[in-house]
Amino acid sequence: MALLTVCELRTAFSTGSKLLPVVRGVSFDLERGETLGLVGESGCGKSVTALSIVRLLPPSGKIMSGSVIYDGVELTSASKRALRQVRGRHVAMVFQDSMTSLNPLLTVGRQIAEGIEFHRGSTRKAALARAGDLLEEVGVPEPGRRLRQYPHQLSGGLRQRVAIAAAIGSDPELLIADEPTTALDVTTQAQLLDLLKREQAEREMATILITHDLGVIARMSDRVCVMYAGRIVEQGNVDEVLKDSGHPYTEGLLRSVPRLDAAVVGRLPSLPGAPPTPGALGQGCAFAPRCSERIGRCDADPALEPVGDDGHTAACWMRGASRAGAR
Amino acid sequence: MPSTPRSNGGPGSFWLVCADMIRYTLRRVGWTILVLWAIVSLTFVATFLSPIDPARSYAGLRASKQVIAEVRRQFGLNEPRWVQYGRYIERLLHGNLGHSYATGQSVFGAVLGRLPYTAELAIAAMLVQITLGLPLGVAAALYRGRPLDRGILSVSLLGVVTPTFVLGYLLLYVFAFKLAWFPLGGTSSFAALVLPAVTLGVGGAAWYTRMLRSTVLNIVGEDYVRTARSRGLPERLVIWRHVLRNAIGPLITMIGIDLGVFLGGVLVVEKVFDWPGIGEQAWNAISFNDVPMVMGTVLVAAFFITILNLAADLVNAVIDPRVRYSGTAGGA
Repeated sequence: MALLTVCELRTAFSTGSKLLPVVRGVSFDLERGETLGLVGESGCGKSVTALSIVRLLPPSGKIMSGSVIYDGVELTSASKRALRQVRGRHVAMVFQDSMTSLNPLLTVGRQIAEGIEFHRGSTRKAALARAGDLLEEVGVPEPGRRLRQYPHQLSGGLRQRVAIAAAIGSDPELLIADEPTTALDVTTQAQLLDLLKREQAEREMATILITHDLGVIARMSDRVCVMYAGRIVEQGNVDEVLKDSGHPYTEGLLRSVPRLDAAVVGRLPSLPGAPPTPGALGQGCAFAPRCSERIGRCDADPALEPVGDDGHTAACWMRGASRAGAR
Repeated sequence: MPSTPRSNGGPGSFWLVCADMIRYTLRRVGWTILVLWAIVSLTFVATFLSPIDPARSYAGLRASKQVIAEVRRQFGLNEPRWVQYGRYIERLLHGNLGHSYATGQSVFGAVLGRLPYTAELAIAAMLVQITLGLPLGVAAALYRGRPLDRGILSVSLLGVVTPTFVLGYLLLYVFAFKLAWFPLGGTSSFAALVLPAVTLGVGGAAWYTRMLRSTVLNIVGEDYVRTARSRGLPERLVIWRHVLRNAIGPLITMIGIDLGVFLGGVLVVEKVFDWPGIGEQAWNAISFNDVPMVMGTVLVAAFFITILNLAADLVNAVIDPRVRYSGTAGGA
């Protein structure tokens, strides 16, 4: 049985009178110890998908339908109590902005120890000692001194390490990292990603890594889901998807990444147009307006269909198995 | 993973906090002294700008020119301004606020005499403000949009717009006159403190309620609250440790200022309830052009406000590490 099964998840945000669908039917599985990359442009719904898994949406967000099964437990309908037992202890999260994600009034040590104290029933002292060990594990120099410091006294990279330490403190089986390195410089980013990879291997922790950076995906993930306008448009092994993509959007993304080994010829290719705003979607493939390969059939929403081997699927009439009957 | 012995990463090691607090305190005390000096000097300047002739006020309405001239000489009012200023500062440093023109008694002594009553009322009113304002404000925020919130918002709006004297007379009429639960003013018993404290405190409580509601609503949407929830902590703990702790800062500043203002005397409530406080004393002094008394009361009020503001800042510095490191809070 997969560790996490998300099935037809739909999440919407209510703004006054209107309901804006942001996640429009997302499904994926995650095995133990596996790293799944969730990649897409800003606004495609990847963060909201992650927040929906543990029901950490803001008050205006609501899971409309679908199921999220973690280790056999249905999370969308679980009681608050059951949810709290899963959060932190089994499923931990690391967020993008470490400055705002840490309480400015509490020491770093206290915040790492908090989860340990609660989930393990440790005393404050024991939890703080463990926090020190964790800081050492995540590569923070002078952990004893850092424990007593406040978030604003640490650099961005150190703060994010603190966030990771706090997340892995209770030995979760699943770590959801929402753009953990986006706010950091490239060198720090590389170091942090190495840390994540190491932790994940040592702890046999499954990871959902959310990012808009294909390079990060290539480096870190086993499998990848490409999201567009609230849906998964392509899914599969990372090598498969990056080498032999099954969707025009993925291809467009890959083409727009500048290459070090290619000669600079003319303009950098980019996808024309812009992603649609939630609520402004009509029928049919959401990517069609920007797609160079669109055909008449694209007026109907394509479902995910196999395009290669090994579970590689893509939602495109031009690429899918039903392609034979398209023309 | 070996556990190397290291010091307890408690709430910021005690001695480190102390060192920062001392630095911060010295800085703030320095500023406070500067502010007090500025207030004292401005008050001095203000008396020269006023159209009242202190010699005339002292000598009385029917005094002759010679008497007035003699008074002027006696009080050194013919000396150059800066000499008078020097004497003024010197006297102040000795706690001498002059003598009342009306009664002749020491201003400092007179104000000190009224201070216990004013302090009693101030503390009681502040208790009312905190015990009403804090829970209602937090409750309104946590149950936002629901009937409880709407109810609290309506009632607090009423509290904010109702003039103090209207509320005071209303309470007097209903609870002291009609129901006779409380005495009709004065300071005869502990019960006499209730109505004036409630009158004074309700308006402030309404402000605290609305302000706290707004602050808590802001904080509840912050990322670190989401992080705390993502750790699986029970909601009660999240509210207590993460929300309230961060919301209290602005409230403490307001408490400091309010207490300072109260201690300077609250004329309206004192008049309505016949409460012998500094406010009433100041009012009488103004009516009689009793310059030393007026100045004395102003200085005492300014002193209390400044000192209590300092105290509030120091409390905030203990709670919020950003305050003691940079001197400013990051804001809720």
